[in-house]
Order: sequence, then C-alpha cells, then structure tokens
Amino acid sequence: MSNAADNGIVIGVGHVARQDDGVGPYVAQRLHGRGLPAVVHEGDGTGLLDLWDTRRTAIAIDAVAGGAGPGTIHLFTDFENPDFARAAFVHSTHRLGLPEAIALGRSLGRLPERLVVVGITGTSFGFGRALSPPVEAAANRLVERLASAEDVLGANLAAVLRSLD
Amino acid sequence: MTDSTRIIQVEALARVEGEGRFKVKLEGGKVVRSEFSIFEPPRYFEALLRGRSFRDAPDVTSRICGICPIAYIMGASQAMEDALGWSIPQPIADLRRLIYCGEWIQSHVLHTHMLHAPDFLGLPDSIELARSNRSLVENGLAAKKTGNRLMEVIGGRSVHPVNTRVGGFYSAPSAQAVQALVPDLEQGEAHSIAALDAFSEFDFPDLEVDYLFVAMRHETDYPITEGRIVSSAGLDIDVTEYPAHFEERQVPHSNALQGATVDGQPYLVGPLARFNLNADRLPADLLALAEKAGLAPGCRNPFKSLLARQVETIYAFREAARLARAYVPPEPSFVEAPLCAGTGHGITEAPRGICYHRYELAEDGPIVSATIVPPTSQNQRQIELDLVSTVERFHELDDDDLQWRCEQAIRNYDPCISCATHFLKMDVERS
Repeated sequence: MSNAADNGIVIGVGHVARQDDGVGPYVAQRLHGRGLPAVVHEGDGTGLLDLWDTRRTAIAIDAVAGGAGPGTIHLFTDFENPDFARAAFVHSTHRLGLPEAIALGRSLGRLPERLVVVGITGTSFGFGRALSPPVEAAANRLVERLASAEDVLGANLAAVLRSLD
Repeated sequence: MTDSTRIIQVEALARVEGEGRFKVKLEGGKVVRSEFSIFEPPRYFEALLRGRSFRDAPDVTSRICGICPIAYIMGASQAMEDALGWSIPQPIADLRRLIYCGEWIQSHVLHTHMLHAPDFLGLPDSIELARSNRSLVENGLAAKKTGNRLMEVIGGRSVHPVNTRVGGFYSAPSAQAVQALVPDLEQGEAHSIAALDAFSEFDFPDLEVDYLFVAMRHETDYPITEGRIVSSAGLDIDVTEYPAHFEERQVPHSNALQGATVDGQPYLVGPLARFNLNADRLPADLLALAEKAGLAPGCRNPFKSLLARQVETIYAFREAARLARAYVPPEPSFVEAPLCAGTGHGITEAPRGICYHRYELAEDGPIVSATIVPPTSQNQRQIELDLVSTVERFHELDDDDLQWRCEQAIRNYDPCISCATHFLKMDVERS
C-alpha cells in the first residue's frame, strides 16, 4: 500500500474531553477506522517530534480558537507565515503545543519532509465530549476527503489539500 | 504615582502550569505590596470525593495534575492503606518507587531543560535554546522520553497511569519489560550529568533567602515515597502529625489556599528543601558532583533550585536503574484486606515538594472527608516573599529586566498552579 510504503501518518492533536478541542482526535480515530495510519496525540507536544521525525509525511490536525467562523478549515504548510503564528492553537501553558513543537522540530532538524497542519476553528472548549455541530460537520467532511482520496499521504497530498480549500 | 513608584506586573505567566499573575509595587527600592495571584478556577476535588469509594481516590486525584499524577496516586493510595490498615510488601513498595522515579524524570527534565534554562541564558524559550545548544535540548527530550517510557511500562501510559490501585498494581509488568529500560536509564544518567555541568556554567543571580525548609526524610534513602516530615528548624514528625503543624489559609487575591505553619510561618518545599535536609542520603559521588556544580548543603539561593532539580534527575535515573535491575514481578501484584472505618494519612515527595493526603472513611468504604495539600499551595506564600526579596535585591534593573528576573524567580518553583487551585471558601450571607 502506497501509504505504508511512504511511512506517512495522520496525527490528531487535542483533548477529547474538552469539546471542540477533541476535533483532531475525532478525525484521527475515524481515519484509523478507515484503514489510514492515524494516531491520537494528547498531552505534551514534545512527543510529536517522536511521532513524526521518522516519517516523510505527516498531517497534524488540531483545533484553533477564533480567526473565522466555527468549522472553518485552515491549512498550513509554511510555518514561518505569520498567519500560522497568529492561529490560536488550543493548548496548555506549561506543555508545548503544536506550534512550539514545530518550531522546536525546525530548530533541531526534526520535521518530516512534508508536514501539513490542518486547523479547525472551534467554538466551545468547555468540559464534554461532543463537538459543536459546525465543527463536527467540518470534521466529517475532512474525514471523507482524506479517506476517499488515493495516496493521500504520498504524492497526491497537495491535490487533496487543495480540494479542501 | 510618584517618580519613585514602580509597578512590575505580569498578567499571564508563561512557562508555568495553570493561570496565574503577579503584581509588585515598589516605592523607593522597597516593596510595599506583592501579590502572586492564582486565577485558575477552583476545582473542588476534595468535595467531589465525598461519598465515592476509597478505590476511586487515586485515579480521581491523579487528574489534579497531568505533570505529577503519580504523586496523587501514591499519596491517596498510602492514605487509604493507612486508614484500612493494609500493609504493603517491599516488592510493591519498590515498584512504586520505580514508577515515581519516572515522574521525577519527566517533570524535572521538562522544567530544567525546556522551561527554566532559557531564563538563565537570556533566551525567550526552549526553541531558541535548541538553536544555540542543540545537544542540551536533544538530551533533555531523550531523558524525558525515557521517563515517559518508564511510566508506560509500569503504569500503562505516560500520563495518568491506569495500572495503579490501592494496595499495589492491577498487574505487574514482566521482568523483561522492566529490565529492558536499564540501558536508556544509564544513558539518561550520563546525559543528566553532562547537563548539570552545563547548568553549573549559568550566571546565578546572587540572592540568599532565609527559608524554613520542609521535606521528608527516610532512614536510609533519599526521600521519594516514604519517610518522616522534617524541617530546618528541627521538626521531626510522623505524617499523621502533619495537620497539627501545618495549615492552609485563604487570601483574597488568590483562588489557591496558602500554606503556612500553624504559627503563621511560610515555608519552602521542593528540590532545594529536599536537598538541604537530605544531602547525606545522596550517594557520595553525586553529592560531590553537586558541590562541584556550585550546590552545597545549606544553599539558600532560590535560583540554584535548578541545580538541585538536576542533581535529583541524576539520582532518579540511577535509582530507577538500580530498581529495574533488581526487579522481580511482585506476586500477587496487590494486597487487599477487609474494609473498616478509619482515618488515613499519606505523604510523598512530588517533584515540587511534599504532597499530603488525609481521608476519613465510613464503615464500608465511602469517603467521608478528604484533604489534599499540594506542594504549590505550600510554597505560594514563599513565592510572594521571594518576589519581594528579588525586587528589593535587584531594584536597580530597568523594568523589563526586573520583570524578567521576577518571572525567573517564580519559575524557580516550577509552580503547578492547577494543582494548587483546589478549593474556594464561599461565605453566603442571607437576610
């Protein structure tokens, strides 16, 4: 299978008990169910380096707060772009979040060849497992696009992502 | 405001766990007001434990903190076993000490390498540190990963372990799995010694504070899971006597209670207190390394807590390797005995200092009352006093540099604000 040969991975980042912050894990769990190599990452961002630095391709999916209406999907591939720095990825103050893990990976030369971050604007970050309706709809759309495309973690990645815009 | 009045204020502290801020008002080089405020919302753990089974307390209280869940699991388990009169065999106690070493490694390395070291180098964060000192950060990440692995092998996962229970462990990991950790633990010790060497080159701000140190003390070992409570003022008590000597107080500007001795004295818990009260329990070569790095017993410089933490990291790696080499799976992996009503106390040395638990149980196991005193609550008043000492000592710095120094002083404690915010006293007045 091309995905396995390419050694790519989808990483859902977030906390499943904090409503829309669980959107990354929601997508990753469903992609895993559809046979894609996908994992959930909860907790310290330094662990992301271990997950992705042996891969050629990684797609990280995380919730962002604000910036657009709930359920808006943002794609980031240029991590020096100020838009990436401005996106408020939801994370703890003590642990490193996704942007910090990427910055650390850049400093240490520990980023995959192709890294794409998919941010989904959330609206509710309180206690609870349910995603808000617009976020759940966006997550389902993302799952369908990623799961139905051929070779999503390989050469076809850019085309799949363009189709999400 | 007069020309000589300065206010140093940080609205949201970075590189600490939880939500806090501080404010210091300075007049002519003297501090007239200092507030370390915790606005993290109260979390009501003690209240929500009431009525639940004694078996729930370790798992529920572990959720107080994602950085030091073992401290809560072990303190709660010990307190329950004390209340029920269950005796823990040595092999289970050893396995507890081993997993606790994993937590010390995880927590200490995250703080020293990623959160605190940048302060000493004038760098904003560990990302910049990785650019200027790649091997230090790489070794820190590797060390932390080994700590995580140790937690996973024994506890089932690296955060909020699920394999621990009152009486021991649901299942004992295989000897092969535990002993396979030894090479990484040995490597971790070597890297940690190199990191201590690097940290010893830091320019430590020159400040001495007159602390009352409080820590645990064990007959033979450096204290982690067992021991009495001792202080630099000569206190030497059993854990059951803790409530008679220490208390928590409410202050208006903070959602976290502030610890003090019953006669109102602030005190310090954590690596510097442990080191000073237990330096003779460290292996001689490790104490020599500490002294060579500039950390000698009696040290009262809060900024050198970084060195104490690193010495403890080396110790935790060595102790974990020793326990892992000698490990034989305990059989059975937990003990259990009939239930009874009673009151139990538990205390362990969390990475940030002593963490005390007390529970009262009814006849058939439900919790009647719970008291949990985390280390950051105990240190909170002392943090404010350190801010006063820091500002008065370094008041000639400009505002930006003084603010930097203040943040560095708070991070000396690696404060875990989420842990400390566990109670809010509410008074309702009705007419």
